[in-house]
Amino acid sequence: MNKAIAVLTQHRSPILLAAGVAVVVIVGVLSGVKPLQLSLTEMLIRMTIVVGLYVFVGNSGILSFGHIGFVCIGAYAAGWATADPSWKQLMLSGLPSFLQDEEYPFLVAQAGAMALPAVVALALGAAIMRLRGIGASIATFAFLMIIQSWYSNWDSVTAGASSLARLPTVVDPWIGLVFAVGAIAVAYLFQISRWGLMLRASRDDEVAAKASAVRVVRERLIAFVLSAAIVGAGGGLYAEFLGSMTVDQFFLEMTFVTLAMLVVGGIGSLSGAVVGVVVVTFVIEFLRTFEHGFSIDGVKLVLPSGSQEIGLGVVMALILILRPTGLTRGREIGAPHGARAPQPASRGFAIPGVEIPNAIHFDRPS
Amino acid sequence: MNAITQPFLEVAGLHVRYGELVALRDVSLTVAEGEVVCIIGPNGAGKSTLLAAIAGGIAPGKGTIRFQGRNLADLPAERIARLGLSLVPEGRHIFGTLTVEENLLIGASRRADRRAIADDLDRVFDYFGPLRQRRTYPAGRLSGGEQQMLAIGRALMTRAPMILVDEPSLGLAPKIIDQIYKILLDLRLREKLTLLINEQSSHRILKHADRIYVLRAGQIRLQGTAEQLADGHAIKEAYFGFHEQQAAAG
Amino acid sequence: MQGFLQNVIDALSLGSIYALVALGIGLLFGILRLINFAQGDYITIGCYALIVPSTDVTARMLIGAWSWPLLIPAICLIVIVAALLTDALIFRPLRRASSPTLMIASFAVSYIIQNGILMIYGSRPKAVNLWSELNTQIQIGGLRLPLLQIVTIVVTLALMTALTLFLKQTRLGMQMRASAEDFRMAQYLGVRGNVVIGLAFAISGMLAAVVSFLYLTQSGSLSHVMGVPLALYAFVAVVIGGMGSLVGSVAGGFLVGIIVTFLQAYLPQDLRGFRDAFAFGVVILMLLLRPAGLIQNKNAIERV
Repeated sequence: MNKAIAVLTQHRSPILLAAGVAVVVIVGVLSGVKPLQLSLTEMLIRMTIVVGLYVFVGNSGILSFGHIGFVCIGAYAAGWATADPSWKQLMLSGLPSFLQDEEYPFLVAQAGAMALPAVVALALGAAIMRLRGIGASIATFAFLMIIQSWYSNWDSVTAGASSLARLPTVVDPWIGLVFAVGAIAVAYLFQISRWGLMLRASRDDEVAAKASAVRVVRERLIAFVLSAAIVGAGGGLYAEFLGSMTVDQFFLEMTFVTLAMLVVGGIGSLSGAVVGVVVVTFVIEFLRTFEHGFSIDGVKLVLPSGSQEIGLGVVMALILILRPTGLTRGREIGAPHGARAPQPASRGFAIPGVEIPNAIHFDRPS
Repeated sequence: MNAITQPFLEVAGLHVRYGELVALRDVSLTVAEGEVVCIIGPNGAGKSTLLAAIAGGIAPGKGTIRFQGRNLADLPAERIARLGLSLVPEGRHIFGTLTVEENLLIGASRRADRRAIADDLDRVFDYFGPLRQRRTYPAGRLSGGEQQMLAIGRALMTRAPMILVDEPSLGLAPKIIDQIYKILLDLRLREKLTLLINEQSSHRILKHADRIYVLRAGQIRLQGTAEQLADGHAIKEAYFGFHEQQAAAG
Repeated sequence: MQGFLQNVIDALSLGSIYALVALGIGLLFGILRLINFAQGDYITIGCYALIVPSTDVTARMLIGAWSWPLLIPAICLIVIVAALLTDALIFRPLRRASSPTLMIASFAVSYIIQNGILMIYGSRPKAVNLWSELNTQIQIGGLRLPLLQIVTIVVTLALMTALTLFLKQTRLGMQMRASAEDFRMAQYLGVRGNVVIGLAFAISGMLAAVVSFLYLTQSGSLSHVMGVPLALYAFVAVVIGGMGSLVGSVAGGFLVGIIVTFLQAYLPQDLRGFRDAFAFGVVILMLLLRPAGLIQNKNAIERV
């Protein structure tokens, strides 16, 4: 019994996160409000994606603008597996027959939604993980553009600019919860594993990182592939949640929202990813309610449409300026009080002649 | 040194951290007007950090930096430069895409007196002949020694009363280093230039410096005048930390 | 021959536009290490400033109805102010932030501007007629040449000449070049960072304003995302040409214009859509093989 408590206490951080999310979901589902449940499901899907994004960005210190490309790949993989075969035979003439003529169960589709992005990430990562900081980030952005362009034009396989439709909508808050908690668990296990720890060490100490360059590249690649699989699962969930989708849904807007969620919560910690999703979802929902009109004492308050987006942009900018380490300051929930995430002391820009250790690529100096 | 004169530059209790790493701990030093003060110490001792902190490139955690009585600690580098303190950083950092002449003129950014600037340009070319020959070349094409001359010349163009030089000898031939020191000391005499120099070579320091500080592992271990430390023995001990090593082993 | 010449002029004209946008991006990257996605949105602001704010489908000209000696400075002023505002509000507080953080911030700025325009002007593209009389052909020698494209090329060359003169011959211009190469060192020499940066944003704003005229006259339509493809391709141009090198940005812009035009003209129909994929594939290749860009500036310090 004592041993169980000890284990729970040691790993209290992800447990607290999972429990917190579960509570929110349970309350929401029990309330019976249908739109709320839809919002919750979408929140959980986004959480899967953002946690997956964090696995790479948080541990390696490299910002990725391309992960929504993996979401797209995952979503379409699941779509190919589960869309109605008669529709596929009509619309997606380019699909291989094992996809075109069959309809696979949800879990098989999800497996595919995770495997395909992982394979692509392996190939892409092998090429770009050796690039330094901003170069790698630019490369991931280019990847997003490539996938967008490619999938938009690959008419025979993706339906191009029209929707991939007739997908079963099986994803409800419970399935979403399972995947979100699963993502949290995987992310946590990775960051306490040997590779995760080594990767974080190289993130925080660039001098050491340069010294063992080959190893660093391999660790980054592992994180990259794993994170692609997780966000791919998120994509698969999206497919089975929306029932139909288009390529341009997985582009700049989603990239911005998921990045905003991670930044607001705090790039450096798993708790940041989870907290960020919840907080931003609340902000968006809050603004959305006002966009539809809200009555207080007979006075109707209406925000012009587009307020959600602007509100999110402003929140993101404020966090970057005022609290660049995010709401969680890069710490995990339940971490010992006073534990600080490492902060560089330089006033930005390389100091001529001075080698600066402990510099996190994306955090602002204190 | 006249004890009543206020020091030109006074650093007291300076602490600088990089995240968890303490780069400078409780560092204090003074420089009087017209003095040549040298800092010597092994790699990683914090010499560059110290000069960068004084010049405004790094934010200190604790401590004060006073220049001509003014507190520099929170001022940005450009402000400090305009107050009259100029840094020649390690690695020279000349503007490779600008010509030699343009590099020198950038040095005069804090000044407005066009006539005097043109005169000073001439003066610098008098000091550094090779630069005059190459005045329209892109500075990136100069040799290492010429680039160092350019960096120093650029600092001279600022007409700052105090110049910090970080490792002027690094990677240069002895003859060129001699030449550079000769010019610096000449200027110290003629124009009351105050110098704070990071150096590696102890014999050069003993030859040229008025006073010396030994910095090791972020702390000042020894200070004294050149006469006091002339035999070099104390310097060597402070540099390598013999006493501490013996105490730890014994 | 006529067809080929037409393509060449189209390529140079498109290249001019990309070069101007790339210059704006390259300038800010050189000095600030900021990859400003919002550069495209400055252009959008310049275009929308011409019409009466409303969500109607048909656009009514406001400033766009003024005569050109008033119109041009007015729009330039508006865009310059907008650019300076984005610096003052968001980029200045982030002066000491890392490059990836700045990239996210510019993404946020872009998002805010696009949705702000969406809110004020509505989501549907509007048709706009700006100086459409330029959309004709003129005879030079025995050849018929499109006037608008020629004007675009000439204006671009004139603007670049003016900018080059400013950078090379003035004291401020010299400080800007020094800052673009080594911002910290320039500060150590007393160069006022905020002045140089403010100037860089102002120049970027003006470049964006000019592009908004040239682009709108050609395309004839407004949408809140019209700046996005321009910014994306200009970004490709900057990476190809060499980040931090102004000459590289311009060269990259022309190169991208040429490649895009000729791909459009000569690619088989079914491959044309993959143009973007190809362009960004080239970006990745450049980052892997020649991160300093095509214009190897031996005198500059490598940036990426």
